Amino acid sequence: MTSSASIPEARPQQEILGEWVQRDRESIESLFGMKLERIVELARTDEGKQELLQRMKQIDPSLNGNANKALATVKENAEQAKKKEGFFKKMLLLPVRSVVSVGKGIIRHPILSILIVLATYGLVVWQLPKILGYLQTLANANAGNAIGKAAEYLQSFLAFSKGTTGKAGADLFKRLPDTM
Amino acid sequence: MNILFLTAEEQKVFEALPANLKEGWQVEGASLVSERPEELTVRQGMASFDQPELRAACERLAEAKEGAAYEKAMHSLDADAFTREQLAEIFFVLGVDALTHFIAYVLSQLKTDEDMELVSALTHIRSMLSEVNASQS
Repeated sequence: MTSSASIPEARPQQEILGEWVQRDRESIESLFGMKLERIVELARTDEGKQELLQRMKQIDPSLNGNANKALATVKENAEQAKKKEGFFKKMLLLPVRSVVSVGKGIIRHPILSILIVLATYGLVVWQLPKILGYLQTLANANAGNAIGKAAEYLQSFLAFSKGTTGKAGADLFKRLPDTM
Repeated sequence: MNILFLTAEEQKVFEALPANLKEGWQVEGASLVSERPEELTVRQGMASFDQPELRAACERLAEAKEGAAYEKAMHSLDADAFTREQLAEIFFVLGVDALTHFIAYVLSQLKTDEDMELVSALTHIRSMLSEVNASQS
């Protein structure tokens, strides 16, 4: 009879799904041992999905009940990796003048820089409830106005990003003071 | 490249601006394709934000105590922190709708040619993001 001590603790679903999200083409191809385009192609057919699932179970034998959700995550990750490449190529064509203009413009509007830094670098924003409170004040004070709407949108965005952090966000979390 | 890619609603705001600010700018219609929430979630998981100055700004925000201090925390930020690559990373994660809100904000505060340059640049970035969103992988 197996003792309870030998039964592994179930990992949270979000953690399992998060492990399947890779940063870029190189990471995805390295994990799966196949080209990104092949993964995207396989994810489009029933047979292809079965092949991908088999590969995923080789990578992570504990993948069982979450297999279909993990597969959906892998498909999305592969598609977004291609879109990211496409977007970055387009951004290379943006004139220097425009890049400088955006950088200076964000600085010139501190509200924009706060929102951008919070929504990207502040991925562990649930550690910063006072800033969210401040954004709510802005939203109320500027009800119907542009910054109010931007703050409201990003609050909803930030709320749904809770608990999902890029590597930089996770490092930041460890160094933040115990606030609030 | 004095073009602004504006939605119908944004064009109304633009039309109401003083003539001296609008002079020299050409407006073209914007066709937007926004991301699904699932796409944005995966994009966040893919992102790596490691620009030291922006990380430091986030730490200053965490230490600030009240409203004005949050804005002050941003004052020492340098525009050089926003490199082309960093902007690409940021806007890919934030998505089309966030950019639309930013554009609406800047249009509502617009006073200078520099602000108009900013709107133009943001609308170009938003168009590029929309094109990519619309593309088949």
